[in-house]
Amino acid sequence: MRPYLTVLKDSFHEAFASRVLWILLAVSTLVLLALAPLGLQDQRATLLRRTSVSAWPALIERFYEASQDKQQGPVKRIWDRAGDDFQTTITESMASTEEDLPAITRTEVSVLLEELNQQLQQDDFYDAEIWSETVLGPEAEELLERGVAQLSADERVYLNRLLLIAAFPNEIANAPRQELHLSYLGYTMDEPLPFNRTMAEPIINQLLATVMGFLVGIVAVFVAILVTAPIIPHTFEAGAVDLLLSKPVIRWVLFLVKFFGGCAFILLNAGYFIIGLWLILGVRFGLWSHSLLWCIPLFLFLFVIYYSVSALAAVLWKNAIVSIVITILFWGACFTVGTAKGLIEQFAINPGRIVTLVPRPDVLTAVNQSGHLLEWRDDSWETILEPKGRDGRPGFLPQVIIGPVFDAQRKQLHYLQTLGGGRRFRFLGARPTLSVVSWSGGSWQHAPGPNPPAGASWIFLTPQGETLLVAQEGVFRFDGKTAEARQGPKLFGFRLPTAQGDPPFEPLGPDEELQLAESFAAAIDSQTGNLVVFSDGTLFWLQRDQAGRFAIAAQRAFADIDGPVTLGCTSAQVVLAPSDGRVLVLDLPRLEEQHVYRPGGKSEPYQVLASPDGTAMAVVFHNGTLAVLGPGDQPPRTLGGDVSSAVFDAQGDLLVADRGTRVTTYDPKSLRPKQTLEPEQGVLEMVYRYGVQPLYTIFPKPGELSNVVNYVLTDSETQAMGPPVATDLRQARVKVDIQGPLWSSLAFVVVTLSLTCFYISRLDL
Amino acid sequence: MADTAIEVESLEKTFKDGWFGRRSIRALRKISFEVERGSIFGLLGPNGAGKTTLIKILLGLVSKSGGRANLLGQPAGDRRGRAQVGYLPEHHRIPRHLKGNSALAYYGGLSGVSPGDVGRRRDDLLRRVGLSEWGRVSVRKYSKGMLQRLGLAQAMLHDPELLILDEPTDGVDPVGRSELRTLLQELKSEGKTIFINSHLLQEVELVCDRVAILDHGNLLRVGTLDEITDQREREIEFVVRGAENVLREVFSDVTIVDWQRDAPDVTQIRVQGLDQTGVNGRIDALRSRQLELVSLIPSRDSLEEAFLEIVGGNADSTP
Repeated sequence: MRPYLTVLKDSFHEAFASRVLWILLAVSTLVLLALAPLGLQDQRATLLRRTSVSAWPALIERFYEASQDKQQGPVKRIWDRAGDDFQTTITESMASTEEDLPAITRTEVSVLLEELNQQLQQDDFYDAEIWSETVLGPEAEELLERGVAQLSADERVYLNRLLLIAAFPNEIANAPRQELHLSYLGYTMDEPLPFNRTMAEPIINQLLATVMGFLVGIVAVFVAILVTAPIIPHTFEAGAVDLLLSKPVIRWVLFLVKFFGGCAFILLNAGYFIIGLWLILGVRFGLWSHSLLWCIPLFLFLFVIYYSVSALAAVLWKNAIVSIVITILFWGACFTVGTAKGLIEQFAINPGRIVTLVPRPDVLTAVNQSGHLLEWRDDSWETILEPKGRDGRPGFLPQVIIGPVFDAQRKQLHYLQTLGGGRRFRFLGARPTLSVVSWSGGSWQHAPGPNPPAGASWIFLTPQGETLLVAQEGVFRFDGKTAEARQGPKLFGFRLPTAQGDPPFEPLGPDEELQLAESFAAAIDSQTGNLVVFSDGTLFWLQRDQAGRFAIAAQRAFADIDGPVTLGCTSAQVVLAPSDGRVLVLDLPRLEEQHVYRPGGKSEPYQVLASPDGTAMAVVFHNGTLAVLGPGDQPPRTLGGDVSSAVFDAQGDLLVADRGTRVTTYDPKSLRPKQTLEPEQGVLEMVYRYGVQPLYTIFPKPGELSNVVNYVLTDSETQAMGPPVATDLRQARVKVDIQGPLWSSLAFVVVTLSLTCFYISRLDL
Repeated sequence: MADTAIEVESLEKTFKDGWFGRRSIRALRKISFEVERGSIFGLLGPNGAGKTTLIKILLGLVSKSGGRANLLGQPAGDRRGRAQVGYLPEHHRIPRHLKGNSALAYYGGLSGVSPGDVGRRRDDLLRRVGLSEWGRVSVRKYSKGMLQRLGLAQAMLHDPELLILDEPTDGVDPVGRSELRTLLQELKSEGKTIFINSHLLQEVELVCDRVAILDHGNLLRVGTLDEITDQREREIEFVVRGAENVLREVFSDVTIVDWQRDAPDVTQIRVQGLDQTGVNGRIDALRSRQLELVSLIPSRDSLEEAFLEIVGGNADSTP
């Protein structure tokens, strides 16, 4: 053993003797020293920010209404004290509307913000008489009790801000009391960070994953390849190798020890940098992210993949330059295969993946990831409706189609749509659109529905065939009329005035105070029409009475769930699937846990489905796993690895979409396939399935190890497509293969090193 | 314990070259010899004779194509055998990040010597090879001769039974060579076996007990220096004072190689083909004729002459 330990020790000796190591360590030190003064500082919010307002159009409406009002109130007071620019902007925005909402640009928002922030600085902003009718929070009350004159300038501005928020309780809903600022060397940045302290850790980890993927994963690894490339050729040079191998050592073991000794260089570099980062994060940011330290062996492994190729080339040609060139060619091949797969998936395979299945009595309807509505006809998927952005053009981001539900009575499909591109500036919190697709004249015709209630986020079909919308303010019944039908007929190009009839959305309660969070989850019991809703860590069971109205029949808070969830329910059970991968089976009406499973690992759930008779439930995860729960206490059974959607049809059979466009009907009890609908594959798909994918499977995936780094740092197996802060689990996510790259790369390293060892053991030196 | 340190019997090596090994080069052709324990053995041969290949086969660096080779009672290449061998390769490369002391620690560790033992032996070894003051100096600063001395020190570090030295005096100055000769004699007196591969025939002649001459993969001669050089007919030089005509009578039946008159009455005669009885007969004949024998010098060939003649003869017969 001593000879091999000697070689290993010498590798570190050699690394320490290398000037490049000290140069890199010096560069790492400089980077760490530059990062060390960074810090996060919580500050009391004294300004109104662009993102503080959750609904700018609604805010503009409030100001406009106040301007028309003769009665004094806080909004009217602000309006009266505002400058001309502010008032003109409001008036012009009201004049130009989009989908019945005031339209506003980014520049116009700046004008409004400037005015409002200016008023917040004024000492006489508060008028006790005018604010007397406004409900103020305890913090504002406390400051007022102390007396405005007694407050410091900073406190006064803070109070004014609280007063402004109190005047717009619904519109300025996102205004935090505290703001997080970046500080550097004692200097605090003016602009706050667009996230709070709770969100800081995942965001910083995500940022770290990206930065380290580049700095350590690419730069350091390639420098290490350049520096270590001569080690093996030098070892096998005449005069050096015969001296080594004349000693009582086994050749291939000596090679392996020399190989792993060569990793000392990257180990020292990556270790130094990552431990430095870990200390800075811990000491300066209070984020002791121990998972960061896992990046050291991960990057070492990444280096080992390249180094194994370098070593094989070095043994074959005994030339450092050749081994570097071969390693770079190898990197290029891996990159090409990985990129080809990624591009084909992103632009050809994934957009076509079925994300929603809607079984209708006569035909199967589906929605794919790009927002196309499809029908299965003549052994293929036929597009019945192209996706449309808000302005009628296809959006860049994947469309999130909520629904559709099929209104058999009217032969209509109703769905909500979020995201999508728009010409005019849109803000988070803007309302989704409701679409009505009607069967007319032998084809499906799309028509915009009326503007749905604020925060409408779920659409369901009741057992009675009604379309229900669950919005932040409660449950609403949609009457099925399009926006145009509501406006009355046109005659000679002019729309005839009609009497205002019933509103399109009939509120169905609950009457209790229930303001749902911006991101909430809901599900319907398809037998009774009762609903379950999960918002801000609390699960509500909304029971429907004879009159069709909903009331909170039970509720339960879940302290350990703070992220988004997916729900499903039958008349006896609720399945609650939080984003950490757990599946909680709760009984009704007590909402107590009966079982907790984790059939999809740590993957986020995508949808929970229940069979029409309520005997079976299933959960689809973003990582492509389908877990069928029940019946009874049976543990979940899982299906497939590429499931993108599933649904129970009217007969209780389980329809599962996988491999992009294939739909298989399973018997829910035995999970035996009964029927498969699979369209003929296109050329690109065949190239992908039989060319790129097999090649990708056998190739090592050093580039994909960044996914593992990401997983280690963020603890998430999937990545959201679109905004990184998406909290809606229905949004398409890219399944990140965590284990695949590790295993295939490990297999590659083992095979390459075995070949090298075999060659060396038979080599005449 | 066997008396032989190295046994080679019908050893063959053929290197394959070119695409699919279509071209073959016979580096060793059924060679056989033995090296006794405690002796100094010299392997001679021109460039490309197969000397280094033979050493590499003995150390397991190159596989043999046929025959048998044993090293210290173990099959050639066996780790147990190699553990008892100290090897100094020709043009060896000691990693440049090492210093004299750390190089000894490195190679000592590779030979299984503990750091403590290396520390204990290091100073004495460096003194013996003349590098006492250079232990803390980076090998980058070493001259070629100093590297050679350090190479020798690492070969001796684990106190091996057999030392295989490939061109040990390469780059070493004359004083160093003399010191090396002394060192080799010391090692021999300690019972070590030394196998030297060298181009410098004089060096070999001065230290080796037995010698083998290898050329084009063929073992041409093996034996003691006398045996190698005595293969040719001996010449004897007589220097005699007296009348030349009488001298001619005495040497009338002998092959005369050279006949020179050095002084008016002194003649130098070189003859060939006389055995000891013949020499005694001539001396008696000279005395009986009142001729004064000034000197009698039996001349012996140098190893170089023997080597050139042997290898030259082989070159004539080897295709």
